[in-house]
This record gives sequence, C-alpha cells and structure tokens, in this order.
Amino acid sequence: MRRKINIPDPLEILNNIVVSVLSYLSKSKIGSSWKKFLDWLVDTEVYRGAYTLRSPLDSVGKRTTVMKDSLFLHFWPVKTHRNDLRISYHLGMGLATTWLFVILTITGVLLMFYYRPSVPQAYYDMVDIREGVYPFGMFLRNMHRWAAHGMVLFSIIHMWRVFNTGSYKPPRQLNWILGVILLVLTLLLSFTGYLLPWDQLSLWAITVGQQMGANAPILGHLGPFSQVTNLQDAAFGLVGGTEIGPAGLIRFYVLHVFFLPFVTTILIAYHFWRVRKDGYSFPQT
Amino acid sequence: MEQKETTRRGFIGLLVLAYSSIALYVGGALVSFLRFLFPYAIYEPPQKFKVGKPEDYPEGTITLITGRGLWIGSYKEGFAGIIAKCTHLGCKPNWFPLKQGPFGQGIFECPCHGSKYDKYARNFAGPAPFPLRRATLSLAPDGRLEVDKTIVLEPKVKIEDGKELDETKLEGFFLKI
Repeated sequence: MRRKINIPDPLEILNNIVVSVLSYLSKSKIGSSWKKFLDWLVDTEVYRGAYTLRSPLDSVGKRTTVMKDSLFLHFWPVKTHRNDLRISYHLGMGLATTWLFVILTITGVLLMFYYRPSVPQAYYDMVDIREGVYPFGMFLRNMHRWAAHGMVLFSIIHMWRVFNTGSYKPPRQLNWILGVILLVLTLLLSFTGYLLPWDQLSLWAITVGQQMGANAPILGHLGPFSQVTNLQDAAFGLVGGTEIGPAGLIRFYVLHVFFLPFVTTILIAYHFWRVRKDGYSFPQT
Repeated sequence: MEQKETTRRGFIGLLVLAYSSIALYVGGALVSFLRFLFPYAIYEPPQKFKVGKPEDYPEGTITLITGRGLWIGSYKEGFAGIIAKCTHLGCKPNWFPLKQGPFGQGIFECPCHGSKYDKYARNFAGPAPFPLRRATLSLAPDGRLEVDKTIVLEPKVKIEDGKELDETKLEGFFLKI
C-alpha cells in the first residue's frame, strides 16, 4: 500500500543538527561561545529578514507561510509525495541543466579574467587559456565547453521527459512555453559562445548564422519580401557589419556574457517558481 | 483658487493619458536602443566603389577585387560583379581558371562544402541552391566601372541535369558597354 510521506521542515532539520552539535559542544568552552554566537545570529536583521520567523512552527499553515515568505526556503515544497522523488519519473534533468548553468556561470566568469574580446587578442587569449599559461585554465575552459554541450543535451532530454509524462498539459501550459523559450536561450548562448574563440570554425559557423539573418523574411536583405538593404537588415544588426569583424565579436561577447545569461537567469527563476506553484504532475496515489 | 472636482470618467481619461505617455516613452526608448545597433558609419570598405576602366578587364577574365569580396567577370555578353559569397552557407569560394568543369574551362569552388559554379557563376555541383549573387554594376561619368554591393541581383537560373547550359537565361544580369 502506498502512503504519503511528509518531508520534515528544513528548518527543523537545521535545528536538529544544531542542537546535536551544540549538545556535543556545550561541554566545552567553545560550546557556550558558539551558542552565544548562534543566538546573536538568529537575532540579526539579516537572518530574520531571510527566514521571516515570527512564531513557533506549530501548524501546517505556519510552516507554509514560512516557506512562502522566504526566498531560500520556497525552493523546497512543504511536503512531497514519494512519486515526486522517483528518479525514474523525473529523470532529474531539469536540475542537471540548472546545475550546468551554474557551472557555466562560474567557469565563464573565471575565463573572463583572461579573455579579451578584440580581434588581435581573442584567439591568442583562448590558446593561452587552453594551452596552460594559466593554472587550471585548460580545465576551466574544457569544463565550460562540455557543460555547454551538456546543457543543450540535458535540456532536450528534460523536454522529452516533460512531454512523455504529459507535464505540459493544463495547468502547466505556461511552464512549457517558458521551457521552450529557455531552450531557445540555451541555443542562443551556445551560438554566441561559438564565435568567441575566433578561429576558422567560429568564423564560418557564425557566417552561417549571419546568412540565416540575411535570408529572414522582410527583415533580411536576401529573404522573401525583403524591405531592407544589407546595411539595415537583421544580419547587420546581429554582427554590426556586412561581414563578421571586430564589431561582431564584441556584440556576441556582450550577448554571451551579459544579456542572454541575465534573461536566462530571470526565466529559470520564474520556471522554478511555477513548478512550485503548479505542483508535480506525477500520480499522487 | 477653486478646486475642480474630478469625475470618474475624467480620472479614467487621465489614467489613459498617463499610461500612454509612459508607453510612448518606453517604446521610444526601445526603438532608440534598436537604432543604436545600426551605426552611422562602419569601419569597412565602402559598399559603393569604383574598380577601374572596362578596358582593364579583357574579355574572358575573372578578376578578384582584393579586400572587397567581389570578382569582375568580363564576358562576351558584358560585365558582371560576382559577389564572393557561396549561396549555400556564405563561405568564400575560390576561382580556378585552369580547372575543367562540365560547362567549360574555369570553375568557382567553395572550400566549405564543395559547391561548384561554372565561369558564369552558375551552380552545377554541391549543395549550393542557385548561382552566385551579383552586385549592381554601372558606368560612372568618368568612364570607370562602379560597383554597388547594397543592390544585390539574384540570377536564380536552374540547371537541369545533363542538359547544356542556356546562356540566354542570364540575360539582364550583365552590364553591356
């Protein structure tokens, strides 16, 4: 017989850990000063602001309020069904994709310390990073590269899982649409990152993308119903010239390190929040 | 001063006015952000340029204008400004004057995916969907040839398998002098 299981409150878990550690530590001098420190910590504006604890958690409603009011806690559901935790149901691909995004952000920011997005330097900076001028440079670059490939792959598997479990159906339509936008953003992030090594592969790959812009209907100068010249079309707006050059490199860099990650972060947050609000789609029996 | 009373209808009107001015402001800002991406000047070779006198290009030659991504083809039908951009995915083809193609000597070949064009830049092999595009040619008042790359001609001439090429189909894509 299946039964519902209640996941204990994270604060309760935290409290249990702290209490057990304290009971061990309180025998020593450090213990009492640690306890004082914790008392002070719990009473700080920052802690109270973050966890919004105003009364004892003696009812489900109060626990729910705490969860709802705290940014950090509402990533966890108040209670969860056993089926929601089955990896054979959810495959964990959304979470894997998110973690890859975190890895990409961290490694990407580190690479930004050495990579200069200008034509004379970009390729040689990339080679320096790759060939071991900087400690862990090769590791970080490869991590960034493989995580980028993985993010595309995992988000597609995630989408496949969502489709197969029917999780796109009402009331979760909006999250499916958000997911599609996030997939497009992931692909755009990959595409903009492709130019940055500034080698022959990059150049001709982005030339292909530029041609897509040039062949776009109405907005491309070669596309059907074209209304613009090659100095006004979508391809020009993308690469800042009629050919890929210095202007294109800096455009793709700005898109890659600021604009697209910014939009993606906001949408990921909203995607998660909607998962919490809509609930899981797995059978709750 | 006498205070005028605002009616409900008047208040709604004020709201509409306020929101539409905000919308106008935001919209204008967005348009100007988009416009910001299209500079007044670009540091590229000009799109409109002169390439010398017609006599500099004897009949039967294909001459690369270095740095401009363009060939001046000189044929018995006239001159053509062939844009060096493969119609498949936009790579730069090369001109091989001595290579023998099925439609005469001299072929354009693209290094990316092996598209091939004959000396009239008509595709006959590889993934290229149609012939190379042409820039507009004209004769400037000083007697030199002038190229305008912003006006692009697309000679979408189809080549049927195993058939001889019909040169008359390309009529209108040459500058006759």
